[in-house]
Amino acid sequence: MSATPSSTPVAYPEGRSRWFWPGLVVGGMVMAVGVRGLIVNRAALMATNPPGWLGLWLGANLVHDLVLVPAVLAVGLAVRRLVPAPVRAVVQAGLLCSAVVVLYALPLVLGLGSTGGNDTILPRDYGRGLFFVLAVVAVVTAAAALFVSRRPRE
Amino acid sequence: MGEGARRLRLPTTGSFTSPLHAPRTAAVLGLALGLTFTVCFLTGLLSHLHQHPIGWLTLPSRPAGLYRLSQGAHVITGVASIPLLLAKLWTVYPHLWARPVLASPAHALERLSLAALVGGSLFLLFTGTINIAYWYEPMRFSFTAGHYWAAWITMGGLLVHVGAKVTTTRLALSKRSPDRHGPAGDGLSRRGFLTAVGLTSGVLVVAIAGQTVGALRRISVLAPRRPDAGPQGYPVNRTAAQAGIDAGGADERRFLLSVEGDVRRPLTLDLAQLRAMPQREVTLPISCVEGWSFSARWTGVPVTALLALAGAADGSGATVESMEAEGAYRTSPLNRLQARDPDTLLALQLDGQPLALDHGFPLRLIAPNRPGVQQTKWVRRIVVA
Ligand code: HEM
Repeated sequence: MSATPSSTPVAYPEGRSRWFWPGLVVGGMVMAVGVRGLIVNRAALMATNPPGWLGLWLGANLVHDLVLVPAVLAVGLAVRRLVPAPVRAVVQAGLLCSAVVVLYALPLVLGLGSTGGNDTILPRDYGRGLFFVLAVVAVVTAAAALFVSRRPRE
Repeated sequence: MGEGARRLRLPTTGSFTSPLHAPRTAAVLGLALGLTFTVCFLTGLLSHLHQHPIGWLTLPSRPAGLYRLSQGAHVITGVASIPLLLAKLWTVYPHLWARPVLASPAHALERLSLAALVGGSLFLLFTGTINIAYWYEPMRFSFTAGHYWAAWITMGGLLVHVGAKVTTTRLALSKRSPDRHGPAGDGLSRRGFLTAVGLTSGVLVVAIAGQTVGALRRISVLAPRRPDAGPQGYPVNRTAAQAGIDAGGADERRFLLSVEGDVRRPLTLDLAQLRAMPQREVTLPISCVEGWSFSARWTGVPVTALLALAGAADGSGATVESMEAEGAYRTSPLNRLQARDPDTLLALQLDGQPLALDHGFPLRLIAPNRPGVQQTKWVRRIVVA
């Protein structure tokens, strides 16, 4: 701890942190372990198949950066136009939670998994499960919205 | 954003106006992710070492529930990271559009390592999530291998990022942070945003943890597995049909177990002889690599007793072989500590009943602190080494 703690804000430093180059060297070596592993095991019993691997890597990133985030930004703009200020924050929180839960649950709900005739795999009704979670989130969000809209403004 | 965008123009960092796109938000989320990714990496590494043992490191057979805990934690922590990562990437998204795109060689290296970090994080969470959902089509590679090497690339990217951001992060989280009292937006505050993200992680955890935490099994409605349903009341990773074993192949009158390899007296035992040996009862978990688990009572013959009967040298290891004709998990190794553990059994019974065919009838391996895929079923041979 520094001897003169202060709460006067200071600006973020310009330029590179002095830990940048050490981090790059150490991190670069760790990354190299991964890249080497991908290449060496390209056709092993448990194959990494670099073209297929890279395809999924790039695909996941493009979908995230060019579809998912822009969609979130668009919904954000819509919420700003349509939802009045007192309850806006609560609605944003409820939407954020619901959207992430839907994203996680999608492969389960759409039945994309393969069970190979093993009925102990994916044994639940995931549509119902998702509905249940979203209902809980919606009720909590509605209750919180009611609470903040009744609160006297300062 | 928006006003006057008559023709399609690419955004720049300044196009994004929410005050949540700020270093302090990014720092809090980054710290949380650094923690969860480290937990995932270490638990994942442990799982990898169980399945790909290296000579100089003999993994212990105790504590009995360690693998259950660590692999359960891997999957739960990984899923809890989904909201953290999406929130973090949204927070720093404006930087994706920074100009100039590459300002200097150092900047280029930093962006390259960020591509590894961001790309790897999305890749790990996506492949992990679809793997536990049994959706394999998007993965044109072995999940385990692809996920494993991606973890190294990601952790390397994380180390570079920590070096690049440690100074800013300390300031961002301190009392002197320039955005500590950031301009109030007209929506979620920073605290509100972070709380919502944390609660979302909590919702996901509760929704899946019941596949390994028994008390939550009824409310974990989005868990890919139930620990309490299946043959004899328990789930199975691979059924006999999936493994190509039929009741004829596992015929109890023709069944013979052999103990061979580096032994003085190779053995061949039928089921009556195995049942006549002193039996031991243990309560041990089956802990799947996919993060689900259940604990049960198993009865059978300790492997130590078989090794002693065959005259294996003290400190021997062994390979346990299944009747399965093929597959990566047809055999599993017992290192010297695992082979010598008194609770390492060839089990004949589950909860006092003969094993169901799907649980490995007539004979399966059950041992403490071990991935479920290495609890070899339909055992027919032990090769001592
Ligand atoms: C949603 C998040 C995640 C899920 C559901 C998940 C799931 C899994 C599963 C099921 C395995 C077992 C593979 C097997 O042995 O068949 C595994 C292994 C592993 N995971 Fe993850 N994971 C996630 C995130 C991560 C993250 C963030 C990291 C690293 C920072 C990571 C690193 C590893 C490693 C190193 C292994 C060992 C692979 C091997 O045995 O060769 N995982 N993961």
